Amino acid sequence: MNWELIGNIATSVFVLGGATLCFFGGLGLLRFPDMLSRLHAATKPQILGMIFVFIGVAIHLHNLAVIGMLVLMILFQITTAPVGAHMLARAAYRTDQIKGDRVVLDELAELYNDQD
Amino acid sequence: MKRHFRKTRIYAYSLMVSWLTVVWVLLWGDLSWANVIIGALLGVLVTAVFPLPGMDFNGRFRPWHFVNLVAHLAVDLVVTSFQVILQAISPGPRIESVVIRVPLHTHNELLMTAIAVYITLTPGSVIVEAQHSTGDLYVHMLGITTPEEIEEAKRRVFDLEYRIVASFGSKREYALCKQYVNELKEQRANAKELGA
Repeated sequence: MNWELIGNIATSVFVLGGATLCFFGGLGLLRFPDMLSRLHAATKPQILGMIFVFIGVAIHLHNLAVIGMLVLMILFQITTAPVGAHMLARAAYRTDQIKGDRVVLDELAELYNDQD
Repeated sequence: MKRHFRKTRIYAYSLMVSWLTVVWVLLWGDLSWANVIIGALLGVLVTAVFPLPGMDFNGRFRPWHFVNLVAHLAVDLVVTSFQVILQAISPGPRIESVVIRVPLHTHNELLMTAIAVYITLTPGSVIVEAQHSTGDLYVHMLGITTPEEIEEAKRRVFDLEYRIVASFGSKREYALCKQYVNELKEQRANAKELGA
């Protein structure tokens, strides 16, 4: 066992793990019943999967410049993905895409009823 | 008062330009004088061409609470991912959800944004709507249906608000949230005693 081998194994584990997480995110996107539920699948496993792939890349290249850029990418992904999800959720709600029988309680409806 | 305001503006501006310089250097991946100078010049240019609206932010940074926040965020991100995966592959009846209103203690725009982003990264919740005037967040919760579960979910959001406000909030907001979280803890302890 030398360090190069250990590094290669760790890289494979992280990249494969990240890809698997992204795959299940996609599966959730297909299987969840409505728009808002799908957003859960679109944001969470996807972000963690990407972070895992980046960790794998960082271990493989172990180069400070690359790591700096990866940290930046993770930071922007974590801050922008939820904002994008929020915009979609808002649009979905306002166009009645979620009023299925799967939402058992909706306290936001009161707000919009007051405004009408 | 006016002078103080000016001072914070200059402070915020220099912080912004420094941050943009750091981003530029990280993107090039090479710490050289040329990169730092060009990054700083671009930072000045970008802030001049695309100015951000002024924000009233009177919070303070508490490093220890921030470390705690980052640790919680990392754990939450892992837990939430596996929870969504489990829900995605579990067979049977389709999953139910609720949209609930959570009245926050802070009305600060920046903190509310941070809390909203954090909520979307934690297990089972996505933000749907934010009402700045009342400090209300409307959250979509996956796999939660009973009133007890809803109460518990709201409590989780307040814990998370506490972590953000403890890291960045003003003295007054921090005291407010701390008091509330302590009250919640007492309530929980009392409920446990009654149950036992």
